[in-house]
Amino acid sequence: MLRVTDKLVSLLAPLFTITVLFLTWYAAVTLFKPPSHLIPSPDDVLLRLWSGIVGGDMLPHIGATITASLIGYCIGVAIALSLAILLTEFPVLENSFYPLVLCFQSIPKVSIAPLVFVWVGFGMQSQVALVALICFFPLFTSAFAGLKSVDPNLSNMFRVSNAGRLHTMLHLRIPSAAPQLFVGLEISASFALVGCVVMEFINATQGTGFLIVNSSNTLDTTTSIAAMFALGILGLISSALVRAAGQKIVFWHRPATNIVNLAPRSAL
Amino acid sequence: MNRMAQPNLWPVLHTVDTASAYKAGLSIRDVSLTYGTSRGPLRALDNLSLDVKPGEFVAVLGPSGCGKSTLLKLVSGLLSATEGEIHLKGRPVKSPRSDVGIVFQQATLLPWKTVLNNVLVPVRAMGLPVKNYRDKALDLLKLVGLEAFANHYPSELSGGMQQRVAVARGLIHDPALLLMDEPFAALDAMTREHMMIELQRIWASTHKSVLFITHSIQEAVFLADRVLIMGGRPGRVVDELVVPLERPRTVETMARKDFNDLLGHLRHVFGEKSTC
Repeated sequence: MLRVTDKLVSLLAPLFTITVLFLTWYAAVTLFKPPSHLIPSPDDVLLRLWSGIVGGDMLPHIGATITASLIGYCIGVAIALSLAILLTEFPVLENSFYPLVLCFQSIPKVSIAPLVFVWVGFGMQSQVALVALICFFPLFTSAFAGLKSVDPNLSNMFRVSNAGRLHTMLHLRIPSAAPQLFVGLEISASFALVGCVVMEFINATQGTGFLIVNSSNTLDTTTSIAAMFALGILGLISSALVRAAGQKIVFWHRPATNIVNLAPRSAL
Repeated sequence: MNRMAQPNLWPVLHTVDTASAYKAGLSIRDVSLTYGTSRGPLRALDNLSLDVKPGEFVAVLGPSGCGKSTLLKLVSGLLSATEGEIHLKGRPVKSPRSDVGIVFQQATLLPWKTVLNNVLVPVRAMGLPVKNYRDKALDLLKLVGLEAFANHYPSELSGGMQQRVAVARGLIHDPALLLMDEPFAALDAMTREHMMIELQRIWASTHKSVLFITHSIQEAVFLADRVLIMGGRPGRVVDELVVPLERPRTVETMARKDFNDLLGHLRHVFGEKSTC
């Protein structure tokens, strides 16, 4: 009984905060009447979001952002995982590449966006490239750390059984690293949208980032904020999906705290 | 050798001669191991010799830091000796061998595999056909009293149960020798006593040679046919005790005077000889 009420409270509490926030915003707008190109009223923003989705004029933009982020995410994840596995297996590669990766990690990845535009050009491939680059680092660092930190007793057990390297990688290292892998996957998922939007600011003729730039230029602040909300919802959904997949796949791991907060951050 | 001869189940070990240890058991001759450290070479083991005859239960007793685990790593082939030779069944041990089973201090089970699949880990790692071993794994789980838990995950088991799974895993590929590295050290005192009795039963029904590393005098005396006492820095065997208690040893054995006299004797030996 107590647990049901606890759950209800944990669901309702954030809803309550959000409602209060919106009401305050609404009250402030009604009271001070700022021009709508500065601060639009929240009901206008929600209506704009609704009409943009139901009426469909925002959908191609949101769709473009989802497509580019998803493709870039998959590419970044594939490269990060392969490289992490190679570096843990071959110490020579670790010694030659790991310091390099650490150096690049400290550069804010969005700073390369204009160059990506120069190199890759107009169109979705630019978004994909920047997203892949941004997604690479958080996953690589957590995957590498996870693959390296296998319980020495367990790896001795595998060594005593004369297990091959591939067998040890598949049946010991990767499952051992799985909790950390999902931490990286979740951070990368939230970074993916950032990369995509930044690139869309610069080069795109479509996409949520383009929509924001375009509507800001015409002082259509309502649409800008509605697009931001759309991005926020996308971000929530994507990290919830990754987290749910993680809890399903890594069923044996029960994080003591919200593990994402403890994860190593890498600069965007 | 005033051990009382027990019929059938309990092997009568003093009838096995020492020469057979070389042929069929474990033989360690003058083994030394020197580690290179930042403060120069460190001699971890010095001219250590010991034998484990087929079917014999030998305990290596010593405080932490006197090279017990190093010895175990040498026998399992994880480390190579600087000097001396180790033979198992007449063949030199130079790298990990499939006729050795190991039980570590921690159960080291894979949390993502069921109990049954954990027992089968060495089979899969060695590339042996799993279907030929499934029944054997179930038999071993029965032996350690966990047949009802075959499809459970390790996190659903208590520490003692996890360690029994580890024992079953150590026996799955039918090794000639079972190495145990302080297997009960992480368990609470009551579980530990229960596990000692369980291990004695398992050992008696499998007839494996066991090299049992421990820092518990009580465990060593209760379980072993022979106790080798190690002294440290560098690690070496300083004394040996043949345990004359008849088997099966029970909880009552632990309360008996001759059992406690042996404990007292070993404590005295440690007071005098061990320098760890």
